[in-house]
Formats: sequence, structure tokens, C-alpha cells
Amino acid sequence: MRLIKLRETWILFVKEIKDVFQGPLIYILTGTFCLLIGWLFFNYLLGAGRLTSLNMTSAVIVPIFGNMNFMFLFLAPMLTMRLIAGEKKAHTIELLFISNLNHFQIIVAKFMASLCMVLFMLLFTVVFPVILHLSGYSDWGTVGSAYLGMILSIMCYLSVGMFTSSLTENQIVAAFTSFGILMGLMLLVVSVNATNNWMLGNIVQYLSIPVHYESFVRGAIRSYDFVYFFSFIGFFLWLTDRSLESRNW
Amino acid sequence: MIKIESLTKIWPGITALDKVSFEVRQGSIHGFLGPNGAGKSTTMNIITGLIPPTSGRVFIKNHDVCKERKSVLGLVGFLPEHAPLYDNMNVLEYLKFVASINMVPSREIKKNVDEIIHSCGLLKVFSRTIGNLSKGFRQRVALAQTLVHSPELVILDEPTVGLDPNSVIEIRNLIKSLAGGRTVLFSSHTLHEVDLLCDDITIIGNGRIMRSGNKKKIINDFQTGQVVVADVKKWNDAMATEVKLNMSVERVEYVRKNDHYVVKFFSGKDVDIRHQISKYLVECEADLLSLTEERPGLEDIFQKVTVDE
Repeated sequence: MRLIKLRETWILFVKEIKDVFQGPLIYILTGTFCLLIGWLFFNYLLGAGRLTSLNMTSAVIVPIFGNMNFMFLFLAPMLTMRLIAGEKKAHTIELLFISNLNHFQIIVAKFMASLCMVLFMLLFTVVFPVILHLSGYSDWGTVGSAYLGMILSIMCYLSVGMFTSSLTENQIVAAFTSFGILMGLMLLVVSVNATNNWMLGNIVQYLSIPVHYESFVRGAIRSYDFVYFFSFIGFFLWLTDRSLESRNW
Repeated sequence: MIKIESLTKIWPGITALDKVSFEVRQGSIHGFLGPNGAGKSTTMNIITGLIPPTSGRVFIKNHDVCKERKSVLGLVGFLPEHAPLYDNMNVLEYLKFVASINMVPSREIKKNVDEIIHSCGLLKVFSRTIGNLSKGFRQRVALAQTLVHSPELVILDEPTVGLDPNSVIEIRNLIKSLAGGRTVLFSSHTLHEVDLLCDDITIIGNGRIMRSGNKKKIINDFQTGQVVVADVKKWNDAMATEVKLNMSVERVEYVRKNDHYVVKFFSGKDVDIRHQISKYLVECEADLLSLTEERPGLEDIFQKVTVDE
């Protein structure tokens, strides 16, 4: 039974992947992303000049990963906007609802497919560490940790995008709502300065995504951040499930 | 096959279904008739488990749709009002996908899909992208997806809406071919179609069931008496009086139409006056041109039930 469930989830996942790679959006987004991030990398590299390996991390790795993460704040909503809203608009969501797939399988298949899109886009950035390696850079632990942190951070964005996509059948509304929520979460850290309450400040800081992401970029992998990321993703995927379930309310 | 008990659905401010109850016999083609907004789609969505009822119960083969959804899933094939098609997929890919997510074992998918492509007349277009198909073929693909997992019950929500006459006939023949092996519940407001296809009918209006049961019986119930229409060359009031006096005729009406008269003979229920009338018209040399019996059609009944009641 479990195998059948896995097979159905896999089938929906494969369908989603085919949908994405047969359309032009992923190539347009990947092209734009690579162009912008490549240009930024080139500039950081020029600025880094004759720096040592240690300084290379703070002069190139930290800002370039920061920029990539920031760009995905805009890209993730575009990648997720059609996931459920598109199905609602085309009335194909009914096909999924009356099939043997349950909400959890639908959500997992679509979430994993959107993660694959992100990994496809990030694949092209592997060229940056290779170029750094040619100039003598060897702090691979930091690079690995930065990639891990960024992927976790982007998974958070995708989970928010999935949720907003489940709220409407209008993809544009889904994308803007997702962007609004993500921007709000980003700016939470700014509001820490507005409070003198130590406890409140810490709570707000904990809720902000960049605070957890930054430690990964600096090479610090803490269980504390994993708990945050996985609870965040789990919470928004649960909200997506509730949103799909709301037709039964 | 389907048993619906006191089904009620209340949307905020609107009672879409008000204690709807009816049954669909196994192996029958059951027409679900009603004007727009009568509650046909809502009922069908509840039967398939897409939306829950506010109250009431639906049983498919004695399984409660709300409580035992898993037991019901494989039994039902559903074509919603808007065909659920992925425009970017080709027909073969789409049918394989639908079969895969509906518990069809991997080794049977190819066989099932091949059979359905043949029976739904999709052989010419199976490799084409759905988005590029004509509306008739799209509807056939949508119908094929309801059958690909060999369900015992097929529910079709207005399957011929928006199709050209040729496509309507093709889809109608396809539905007819499903009879026997499967139970079909299909909604429509095209009465002619229901008249041609169905054994049983249910008429719904304003969320309430107006009539449900055997089509012939419902038509019979609405028949108040026999009406025989004769086209004759000669007719007058004296002949009308004679007919009324000597036969079981309650009323006679006639009008002159071009070079002949159209005479209507009305009798009471359960009396067949055709033989008496034809004999009389021949004997009195009225120059009989034609003689027909006028029966109430489904359209008359539908109008009576949905407007009058």
C-alpha cells in the first residue's frame, strides 16, 4: 500500500517536472538569474583582488550567497504561483481530488517538484566555487554550509508560495501575496531595533529567516536553525493542507 | 447503486439542495434533469465526494461517501462540468497519468488506455496535444478519463454542452455504449437527449426533487387522457356531436388548415379511441389523410414540473 502511495506521489512529481521543463518560464527565470548573479560574482571577484582564502569568504562567498538568497525572494513566488492556482483555474484540481491521491501526496509531489526547479537554477552557480578553486580558494566547508543554508531558506520561500497558491486561482495574486509574506518575514529583523523589550526582540529575531540563514553562510551549522527551518516549512505546508481541506468545511 | 437520503447543502445565504432523495439503479442510464442553477452539479459534486453535504447521506454500493471515501474512490468515474484536462499533455500521456493516479496496476495501464482510446474514438488524435484538439475531441478525452480505471459508476455533468450536433451524436452514442456494464448518471437540460438515452429520470428544480423514477411511468403519470389528431378533408359540427354521443370521446376540437381540417379528439385516461375514430372517419367518408396519437413529451413534463410547481 505504501509502495502504491509512493508510486502515485512519484507520478504526480514527474508530471510536475515535465510541465515545468516543457514550458518557457523556468528557462527565462534561470537565464535572468544566471546573468544577474554572474555579473555580481564577477564584480565581487574583481573587488576581492589579491585577498587571501579567509578574506575571500567574507568578500565573495558571503555577499554572493546573500544576493542569491535575496533574488529567490522574488523568484520563488514565480516558481510556485502556478502549482495549485493553475490547477484550480484549469479545474484539474478536481481530477486530483477524486483520484487516489490525498492532500499530503499532492503537496509533497508539488513541493518536491518546485525544489527541483530551484536546484536546477542553482546548478549553474556551481561554476563560482570552481572559479574560486582555480584562484586557490579551499574553504569548501563554508561553501557547502552556505549552499545548505540557502536551499533550506529557499524551501521556506517555496512553502509560503505553495500556501498562497492554494488560496486563489489567480497566479498573479498568489505570487504577490507570497512575496508580501516573505518580505514581511525578512523585515521582521528590522523591527527588532524598534523594541526595547529583550524577550520580544529575541522572539522577533528568531522568527526572521535571514538570521538563521546567515549563520549557515558563515559556516556555522546549528541544530537550532534546522529546527527553525523545518518547523517553518512544516507549518506552511500544513497551512496548504488546511487550505485544500477548506472545501470540506 | 446510488442511494441519496435527505441531502441538504447550504451555501452562505443559499439553500442549494433541500432534502434531496433519490436512487439510481445498478446498470441503468439515469438522467438528471433540471434548469440552470437547480442543484445538479452540487448534487454530483457531493456524490463524488468533492464537496461535503450540510446534512444527509449518499451511499454508493452501500458505502457512505462521506465516511468511507476510500472504498468509493475506484468505483466512480466523474466528468465535471468543466473538463479537467491538462492542455500541455498529449492524449496518451494524459490518460496514462489519470490511470496511474487511480490505482490501476502498472501492468494494466497500457491495456486499459488502449481499450479506451479505441472505444472513445481517439485513435486519430492519441499523440496530439490536448490544447490543440477541437472541443468535440476534448470532450471525448474528458469522457475517456472517466472510464480509464474501469469504474462501475460513471457520473457525467452536462457532457454535451457546447458541442456541435455531430459531436453531440457521437458523445451520445458513446454514453449509450456504456449501458449494461456500468451505471451512468448524467445531467442535462437537453430533454431530447435524456429522452433518447435514459431508462430512469430525476427532475430537480430549486434544489428540490420534483419527480424521480422510471421515465415511462413519469410520462404516463402526466398523461391526463388520450389525444388523437386526425387530418380530414371533410368535417362539421354535426359530425363532432355524433362522435361525442356515440364514442368515449369527451371533447372534440377542430381548425381549418389550408385545404383540410385538423381534428383533435380528447378521451379519458386509460381509454384507447384510435380504432373507433379511424373506423368512423372511414365510414362517414371524411377523406382521412392521417391519424396520430399525441403524447406528452418530456419537454411538457419538464416545463410543467419546473415552472408550474
